[in-house]
Amino acid sequence: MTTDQETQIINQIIGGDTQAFALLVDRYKDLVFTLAIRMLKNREEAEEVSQDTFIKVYKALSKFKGDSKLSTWVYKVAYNTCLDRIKKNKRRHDEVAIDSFTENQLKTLDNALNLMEEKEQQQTIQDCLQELSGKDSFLLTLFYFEELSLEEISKTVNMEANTVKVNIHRARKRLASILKQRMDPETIQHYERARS
Amino acid sequence: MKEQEAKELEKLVAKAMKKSALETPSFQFTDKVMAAVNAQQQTSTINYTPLIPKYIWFSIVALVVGITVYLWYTLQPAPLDFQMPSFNFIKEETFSQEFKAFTPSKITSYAVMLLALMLCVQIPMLKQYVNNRKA
Repeated sequence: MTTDQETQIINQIIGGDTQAFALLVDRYKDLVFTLAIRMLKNREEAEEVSQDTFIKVYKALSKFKGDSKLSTWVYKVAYNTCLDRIKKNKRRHDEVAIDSFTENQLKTLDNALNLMEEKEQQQTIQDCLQELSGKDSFLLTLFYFEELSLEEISKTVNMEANTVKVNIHRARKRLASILKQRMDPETIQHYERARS
Repeated sequence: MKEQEAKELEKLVAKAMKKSALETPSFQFTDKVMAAVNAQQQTSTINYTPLIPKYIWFSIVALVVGITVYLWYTLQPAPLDFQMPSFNFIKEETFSQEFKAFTPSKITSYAVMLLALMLCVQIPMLKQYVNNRKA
């Protein structure tokens, strides 16, 4: 969907055609829900927060000036709604310590991941993302799924682009640490055996 | 070497993120959002409308004026003869005379006292109830 089409839909909605909003919901619901689930680590809460996000978007649609992409704005609303929920719950996710890796260790992890079956791979990665802190998970999802630029992510999470870059790098390291913990020791041993 | 490590890390995470599928919300997600949005729309379009519209007020006024005028001309043909009421209450003392003549029975006075007492008890209780409901 191009920005022109989105502008047209926004104008339709502001003009009173409420049903046109369903198009926007369908377009963004998966990613908004994924971002919420990665932040909140709870399916039910993520669904509630995603609904709240879209209702907020609908209410504020007339104030959207179009100086950024609609998607960036929607993700920003989602991020803030998630933060509000986390604040309300007074829950804090403990951050995983960053391990240092050698190139070989990383290659071993990569290959061990390759040896897993597709379903097992997906499950392991989902579990790792579940363990990662909400903010790290959010940043990685935006970076890899939506392929947003650092500039766009910085607008979404209200941070400097450089800070976003550093945070994404740390998030990568933490994800690798969790992956290593998850796969240790059996899978890696299995991989070593398979290699030898 | 460090750069190589960073590249390797990026490769690993990119691959892992590619494997993690997007989550999908429940089947009726869009319907639920649209229902909430439509409810929002309806509440925002409800405007204040008075319980009794203006035209009913006008017809009530017209009816009252009409009946008054009708009664004035049909039922009271004789000229009005107002007798100025006397404001000299001290001299006449009709009200106080009547009041003196009235002596309530014992049961009535007990009932009135009990009513006053109940009222005094109910006032603080109701006040507390209303305050609690507000909070």
